[in-house]
Amino acid sequence: QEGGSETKFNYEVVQGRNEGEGGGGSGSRVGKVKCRGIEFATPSWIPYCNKGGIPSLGTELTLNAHELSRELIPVLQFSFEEFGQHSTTLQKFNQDLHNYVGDHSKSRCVYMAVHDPHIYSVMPCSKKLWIQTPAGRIQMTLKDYISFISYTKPDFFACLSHEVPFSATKKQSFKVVDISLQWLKESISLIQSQSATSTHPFNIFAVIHATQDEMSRKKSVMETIKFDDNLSGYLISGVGLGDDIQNRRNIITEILSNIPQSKPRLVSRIGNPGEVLDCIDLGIDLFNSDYPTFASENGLAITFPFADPWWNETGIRDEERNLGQMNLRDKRYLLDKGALYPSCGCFTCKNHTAAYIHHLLATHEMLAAILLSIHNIYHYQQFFAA
Amino acid sequence: ELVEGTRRETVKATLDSTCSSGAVEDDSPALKFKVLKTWGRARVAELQLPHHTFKTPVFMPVGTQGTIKGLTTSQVESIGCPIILGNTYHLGHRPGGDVMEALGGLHKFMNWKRNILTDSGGFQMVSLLKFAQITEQGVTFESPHDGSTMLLTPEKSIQLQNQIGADIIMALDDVVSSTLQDEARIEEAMHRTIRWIDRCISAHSRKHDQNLFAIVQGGLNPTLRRQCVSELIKRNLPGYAIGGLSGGEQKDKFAQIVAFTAPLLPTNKPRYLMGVGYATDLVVCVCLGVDMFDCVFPTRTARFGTALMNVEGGGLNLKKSELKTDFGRLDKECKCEVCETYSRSYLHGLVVGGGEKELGQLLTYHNLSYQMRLMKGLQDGIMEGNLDEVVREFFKK
Repeated sequence: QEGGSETKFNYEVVQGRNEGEGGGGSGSRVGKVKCRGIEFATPSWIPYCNKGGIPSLGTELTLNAHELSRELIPVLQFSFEEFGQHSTTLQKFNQDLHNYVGDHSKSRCVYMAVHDPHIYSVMPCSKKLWIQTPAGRIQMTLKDYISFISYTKPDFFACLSHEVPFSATKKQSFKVVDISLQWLKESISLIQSQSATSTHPFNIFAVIHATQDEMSRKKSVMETIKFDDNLSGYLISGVGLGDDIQNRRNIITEILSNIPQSKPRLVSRIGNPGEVLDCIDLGIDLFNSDYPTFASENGLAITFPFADPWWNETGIRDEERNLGQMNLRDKRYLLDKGALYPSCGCFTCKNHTAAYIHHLLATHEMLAAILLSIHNIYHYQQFFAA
Repeated sequence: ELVEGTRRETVKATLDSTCSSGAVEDDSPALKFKVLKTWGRARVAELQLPHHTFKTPVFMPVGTQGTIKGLTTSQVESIGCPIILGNTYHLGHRPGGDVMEALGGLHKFMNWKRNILTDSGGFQMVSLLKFAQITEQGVTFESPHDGSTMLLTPEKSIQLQNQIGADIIMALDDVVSSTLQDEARIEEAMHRTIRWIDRCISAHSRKHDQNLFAIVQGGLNPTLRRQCVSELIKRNLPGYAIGGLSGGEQKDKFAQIVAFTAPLLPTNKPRYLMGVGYATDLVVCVCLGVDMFDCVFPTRTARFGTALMNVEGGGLNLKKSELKTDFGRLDKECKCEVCETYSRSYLHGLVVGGGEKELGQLLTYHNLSYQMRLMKGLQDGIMEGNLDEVVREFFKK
């Protein structure tokens, strides 16, 4: 394909589950994404970022200072919801979003989502997208979005869509799916006309709505896959918004068994390890959430064990570590000279004690969230690696 | 263990070199101060402390509660800060002296390999005045956090500072606000400070590795200041501070008192002016012969969205709306990592768009880099003999 094949988003399945095993869906697989020379394995977590980068941790400069290298975090997710209102500024800037947020060597991939995974606000469902700004709500059209993409040049992005929860009504579901399909069509034709003048590959993820309304859901799948050749992947939208586990399983299985296995599948808002494992089992490859950083805001260190040597050791200091979450605010850590998590290789565990972090939380210091986030992210990514 | 081992080695090295050179007083086993060059009253010196050796004049960032707000110790180290402050009153409250001792002292607690200076808690007499009751015995503080009371005596302050383990500890002095018009109170405070220094000296149990500095009081009254200095010098301490200033008094009075008091202090010992951090004040006071400064200003103003730089007014307020489309470098003179990476537009976006925490971190990093660069510029001016040019250039901007 024209326009610099190395900027194209490539995905391949490295190892899939045996086709014969288990029900319908494609099942779990290990994959490899290659984009702009950056390679990373899936299943993988994509951290939510606000304008300042990963909450409390920032972008390239501070991430590297905290030893969260691009090998550990290869992708960052930003959103149109947050950056869209600054379109004019970004257009004047005349360089990529990478440069704007301080990643001048473009060492990490940028994924542009429409909606952030950490909040959900109900917006009217119309031919335009509403986004909330400090000065009130503004409307953006599809053309606005594609222009935005063309000058921020993210490595891959989600197609414009509204986000409705699993519990959406028949009427809502129908409307949302209809609009998403229109927007997908228009996006692709706009992209194709752009490719005459631009070498940027526009790696687009189409949106499939996982609603409870069967007819809309099926239409979403069937009509979307017709564009498969133009797509880099699929975003399954609507999960993580009030759906229960069993329904989620059924619906995801149904969806995934009807879309090509050769493209990666992304979900937003799913971060809890149990739920992540569940989705991986069904064949989801990418998870966009703020799970580890959300925990740090609340003084929690994530320590759930997985395929880990110390699981079998005796002399484990603390029940809490075994159970998966340590509440560092608890007074039991007042004199705890050990690291948060024995044998953890993160910056925090190599350099600081649980007692210090307990103190930082007790005194409401910013550094608490920073140190906890570093550990939580590191631990979370080790979980994905395992 | 590594930090502890290194520290013991450093202290031992200090003792060894002290004994062999024989050029330092025996009452400063943990400190060595060697003036390298002077220019007028200003001087560059090498200050050797148990954890680290560095050059003065130096600016010391304040890490009140055991952290420089928003930065890890490795970031503070990479900025080049050789010494930071901790606060005895706050740390004595949380986590408390006994916990601090059990965890091996503040260096180990916060994992900072270089030097620490602890303030005695004296300044809180001014900053938390409405919560404080001052008597000959000491100061009774009522905590703003939970209403509990703490009696801070000279003995208690020194005991806490011994437990915290800083390289330099400050005597508990009777501090009055420099804007107070009550001459009688100022005089009382000056005399009490002298009585308290002897109590501090008696209580100090780690003279071999912690340096006790006395603090000169006396308000804006030269006579009182002179009296205080002559008494404190008799105690032959490793270093001396000028306290009770930078509390909002008029700038010309402030400069006069510093100009008067600094030369009275011994030339062969460090002179520390407490609570001073505005660039202009630093430049002036270095010229008047001061070696050490501390202030919350650079870090605090960072968290409120101001980047320090050599422009009129001393800094750039990133909230200004015209910065929205200013894609230029934050500070065209600064080579710190923040200035190398982020544009003004991006930083402005953080102020107005909910990224205050991340912005606070970045500006703190820049502002401290600015302070280090300022001091280095003054040091170079003294060493190269062109301090007057450096100062003139500074004031032009």
